[in-house]
Amino acid sequence: MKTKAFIIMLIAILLTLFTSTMAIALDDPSPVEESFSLYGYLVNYLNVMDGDFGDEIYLRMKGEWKPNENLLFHMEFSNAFKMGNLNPYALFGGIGLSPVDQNQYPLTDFNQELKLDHYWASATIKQFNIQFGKIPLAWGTAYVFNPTSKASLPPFLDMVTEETPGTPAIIPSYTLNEQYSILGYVAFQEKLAKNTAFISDGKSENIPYGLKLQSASGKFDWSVSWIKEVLYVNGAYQKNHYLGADWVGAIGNVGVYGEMALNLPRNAADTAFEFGDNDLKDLIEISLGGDYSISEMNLTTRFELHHQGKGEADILNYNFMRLLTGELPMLAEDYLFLAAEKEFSDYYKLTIATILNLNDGSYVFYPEFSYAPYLDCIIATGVLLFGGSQGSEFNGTYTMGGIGYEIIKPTFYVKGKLSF
Amino acid sequence: MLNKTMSLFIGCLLLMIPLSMAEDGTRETADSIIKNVEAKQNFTTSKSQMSMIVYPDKDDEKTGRKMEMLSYQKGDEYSYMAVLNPKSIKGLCILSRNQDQWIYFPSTGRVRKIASKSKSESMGGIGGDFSNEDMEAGKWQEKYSFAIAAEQNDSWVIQALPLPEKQSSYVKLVITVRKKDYQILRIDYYKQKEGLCKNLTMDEISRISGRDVPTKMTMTNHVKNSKTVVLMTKTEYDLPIDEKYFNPGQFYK
Repeated sequence: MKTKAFIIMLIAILLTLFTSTMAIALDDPSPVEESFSLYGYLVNYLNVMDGDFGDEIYLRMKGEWKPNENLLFHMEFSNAFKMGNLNPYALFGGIGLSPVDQNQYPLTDFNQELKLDHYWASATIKQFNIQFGKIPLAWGTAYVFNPTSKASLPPFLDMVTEETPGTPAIIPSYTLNEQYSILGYVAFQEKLAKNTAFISDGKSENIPYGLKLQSASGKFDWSVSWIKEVLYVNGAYQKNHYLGADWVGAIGNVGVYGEMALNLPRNAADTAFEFGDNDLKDLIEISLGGDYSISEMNLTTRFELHHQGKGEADILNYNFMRLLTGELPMLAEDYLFLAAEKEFSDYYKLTIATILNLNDGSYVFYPEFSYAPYLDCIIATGVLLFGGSQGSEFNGTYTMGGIGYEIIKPTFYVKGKLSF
Repeated sequence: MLNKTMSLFIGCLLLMIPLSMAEDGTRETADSIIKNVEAKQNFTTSKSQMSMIVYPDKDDEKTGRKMEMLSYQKGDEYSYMAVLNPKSIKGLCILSRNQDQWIYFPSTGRVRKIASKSKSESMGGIGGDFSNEDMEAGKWQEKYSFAIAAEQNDSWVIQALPLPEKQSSYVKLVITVRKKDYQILRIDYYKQKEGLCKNLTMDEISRISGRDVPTKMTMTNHVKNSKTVVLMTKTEYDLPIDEKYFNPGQFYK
């Protein structure tokens, strides 16, 4: 009931602010000429995994229309053609884990997917801004793991694109002064972006939202937030409430940041918060990291420690289904990310990165070498190496119902990207 | 960005102790030169469209990589820059307020504060041979002591040394100022190990909104053997600019 009242109030405030300031905005002449631009990029990602090839051709088109400097319309669509081990239907079907029988859908093309990923508008009226549409909702200051980003699944270890998926949402924000601003969102899709539709999706208790106060001044920027996450898992809505916080700043020339989301458990009837016997370490998600650049050597280094309270510290408790459904991005509790990037002239770059599972000792290691003959053209090659003991997260074999499924294997790839 | 750079050049011309003669025969002190230079370059806001060409090999003009940017500036401490070209980073915006920088990445929809702002790092990662320290407007006067190193018929050569308590990646700057109009013509940057590491030259001075403004700046890096040329294609001064461009919570909207 409280949630419903809050949402109604939020929308009422938005509408009032929007309509009351509209007249002012329309009277304001803008010094910026109307502009329209169309741009994007094309990627070809080819890999070899255990003798099998996979290829993804990914087109991303972006369009932007700016009738004046306070109004913006933006859209992006993508077409991904996936073959071999890069096609999820082929990959999972090959090991008996495909969620669909392709033969039952003769009119569906499982090789390619056309997606209108982003389409959103933005209107700024004095200190007030509203964005609405299908829009990337990316919260948090961390680099790899973002505990406060609860609106959509991040493109984790996506080797083809780094675009944040669009979420249907309304995002109002109000700038109080040069230091403080408040922003929020009401999303109209649960985090896993299920493709089924129910009347119950529209119930107020199943609507995700977030509210944030942020400060940008002095040595450290920080924010505090209240977030409701909704996931549709195994035919039921799973709802989580979080108290979030993040900060970013510098100590000397070392950049440091932190991001935290504390899960506030509810009672069984979902009527009140109740901590019960919950252990704090199981409720918290936190990322702490830093970066340091040695400009004389054209070298950038980065690290990030991540604790995921919902994960499992014991290898025997790993549940691969939680990964497949999207309920968890990773299986374990604790991770360390390390990376170093070295540029040679303006053309070549060597990146070496690793993610270590601190609970079971398994790892992903991925060095990449890239060459940019032109500003809008990059060619890269690299390998993805996995290691760990039997049953560990990055060992490559996942066990479900007593059956082992070998899903990840050492991979060599070549990637070309052309922006236009 | 160019305007900001111009402002910082102005700032470093403070506190010249020796006396010098101006073209009109009057005695010049460091203070009077600074006042004249500042009066000449002072502006409340500016809007510029510019091209930046980075030459990885300064002797090979064919290797240039061109970027196009739109820049807004308020005073000498607030600046906003949006990348128009290349397309691979189109939409990327950088807000600089005093020592702080924020970057908006359109692909992830995320704003990041650039915390580890190494003094000698390329400005915003895309500044070519211009470092963060080169772009720190209005701050040199607090970091350097100045003296006239030489006087020529038409210019002063001023030496700037960092104050002991201030951090700087340079050990010395040598600045050449034209006497007739207080125009900065050249800055040489010295480091402890490398000696003369970079020099900046100002060319193609045009009259814009009543000011003499160099529309071409060339930063030559003698250590990397590279150079970066900034060309101003369109500039306006003292025009109204929406405050949102200088606010970390709004600049990317």
